[in-house]
Formats: sequence, structure tokens, C-alpha cells
Amino acid sequence: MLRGVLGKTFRLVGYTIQYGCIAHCAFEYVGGVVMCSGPSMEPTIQNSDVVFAENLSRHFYGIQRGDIVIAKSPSDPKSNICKRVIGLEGDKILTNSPSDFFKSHSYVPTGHVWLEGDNLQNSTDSRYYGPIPYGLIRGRIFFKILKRFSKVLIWLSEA
Amino acid sequence: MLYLCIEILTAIKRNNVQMHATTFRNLGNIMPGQWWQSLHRTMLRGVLGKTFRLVGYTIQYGCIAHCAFEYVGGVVMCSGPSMEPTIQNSDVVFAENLSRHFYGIQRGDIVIAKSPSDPKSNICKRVIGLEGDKILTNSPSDFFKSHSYVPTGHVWLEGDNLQNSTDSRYYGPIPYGLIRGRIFFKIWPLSDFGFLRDSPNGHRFSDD
Repeated sequence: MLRGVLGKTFRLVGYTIQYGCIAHCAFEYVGGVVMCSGPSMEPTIQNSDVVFAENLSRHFYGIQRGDIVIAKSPSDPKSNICKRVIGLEGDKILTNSPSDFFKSHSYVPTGHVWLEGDNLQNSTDSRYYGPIPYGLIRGRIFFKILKRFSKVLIWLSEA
Repeated sequence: MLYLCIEILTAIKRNNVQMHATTFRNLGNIMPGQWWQSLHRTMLRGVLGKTFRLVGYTIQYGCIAHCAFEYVGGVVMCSGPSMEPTIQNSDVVFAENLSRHFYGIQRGDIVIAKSPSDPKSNICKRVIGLEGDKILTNSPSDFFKSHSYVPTGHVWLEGDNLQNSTDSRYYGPIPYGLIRGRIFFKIWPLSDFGFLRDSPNGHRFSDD
């Protein structure tokens, strides 16, 4: 009986590992569903929107200006950020606010990208921490699934 | 190719056996055209089925292997002179990826990271400073010592071969998120088999 139980446990663990690995690879190389939080991409992406991110562009180095990307935060490796790509390597970026008298600009170094949120007044992005290395980009957001996912959750819990 | 031929022959044999059985039962009811059609269908289905199963197994084991390399570790070949004498050109080392996920990288570890100037390649350097550490950023021959602090979420990397290494002294501190794994064991050449040595440049650590 013990052998039967052990055998069943091992088989279950084996299947879990197998399908876990396949699911992980699917999320890593193809794409997945992501919930964004924060106000820095309004009005394009609101707080608690659910979007679909694809990871193929990153691996084929197909990220372009204007794409909204998910990247690992350079100041906190445990969290992700969601911003728009304003400049690729070699581009000239204006780095001051429009109210300044003297315009200052800088060039994006090789292997880096310049990110900015759509909500410029309320976004911590490359204007604050500088250009980030391309290697930190995780995926590209291209499709919104649900507006205000938190509203759906609240409605479900009240019903 | 050979496998395909064997497959076709077995399909024919299977079909022949079936044909014999049905012929005995209803003689003359089966036209030669129908026989060819059913033979083709069986063969095609068999071959397609085997191909799909092969592709399925490949994807399955490919994913498991990828996850093993990504989350546990793997064998890496290093090239370049920037980590001599600890790691020579064309040495084969063993890298583990668990420390990165548990944020256990420490000062003095040799890490593999994605290069900040070229996302397609990897670099292999030693961690000199973690976030908040004070780093001496000039060469020892300069009169005025200049230092800087490593920002949060970043690490300061330097190669062991200071004269011949492009590292954080050139491109600045790199974000922790670029680190891929930690090297801790050398496999080849066998004369140098074993755990890796400490940095030969001990005085570069930030506590001075």
C-alpha cells in the first residue's frame, strides 16, 4: 500500500513539474495576462487594467519607439514597471521639462532604451533614473482585455 | 527517412492483414481503388500521428530542460581575459541560478550578467559592491581619490584582471535585474578543478 501511495505521489509530482515547466515557458516565450497598477500610464492604461503582454518581440529584438513595455524596475529588481519606449539607442532625448528656458538633451547609450509614462506629471521613469538597459525589458503590451479589473472583483464579492 | 520507410512498410503490412480478413468475409466486394485510398489514409494518419507525438515530446522535454537551466543552473564556457587568473579564456564553469532568484548574491561572488551595452551577450565579472556601498572609482595612481555610492537596485562589477577588463569602471553600476547566475565551480581545465578563489584584488572592496 505504501509503495502504491509513494508511486502515485511521485507520478503527481512528475506531472506537476512537467506542466509547470511548459506553462512557464509559454509565459516566458509567448506571452501572458498581466494586471497593471498605478497611475503613470493614464489615460492609456488605468489602474487595475488587465492587459495581454507578448514576449516574442523582446527575444527577436523587435521593440520599437512607441511600444508599451513591461520591464524590471532598475531601482527594485523585485518589481516590474510598465512604460512607453520613447527612444532607442542613439536617439536624442530632451531631458528637461518644457517650462525650462534652456533645453538640455542627451543621447541614449548603446544597449539602452528611454522610457516615459503617458501621464507625465505622475510618472517615475527615465527622466528620473535615466535610460535602462534593454536586457531589463520583459515583454510588450499590445492588447487590453479588461478595464478596471478591480471593479469586477468588487462586484463579484458584493453579489 | 529510414524511420518513414519502416512506417510505410508496417502500414502496408497492417493493411494487408486487414485486407486478408475482409476478403475472406466478403469476396469481391472491395474495389482496387478503395483499397489504395484506405491504404493512403492509414499511412498518412499514422505518419502524422507519429510526427505530432514527436513534436509534442520535443516541446515537453525542451521546456523542462529550459526551466532546469533557468532555475537551477548549467554549464557555461567563459571567454576573454578579464577574469584572469581566476578564470582563464575557454574555461568551462558551473553556474547556479538559485541565488539570483532568492536575492542571495553577495560581495565577492562571480556573476554572469547580460551586458548593459549589448543585450545579446553576457559578461562574467565579480561583484565588488552592492547597493549603498561606497566604491573607489579612480585608478590607484590618481592623486585625488574619487568615490561614488552604488544606487539602490544596482551592483558594481569588476573583472579580476583590472588592466584588461571593461566593467563598471567603464559603464557604471548595472541593475540587479541583469544578473543571470552565479559561478561557483570550475570544471575545465582539470588542473584547476574545484571551487573558485577569492578576488586577488582584495583592497578594492568598499570598506576601506
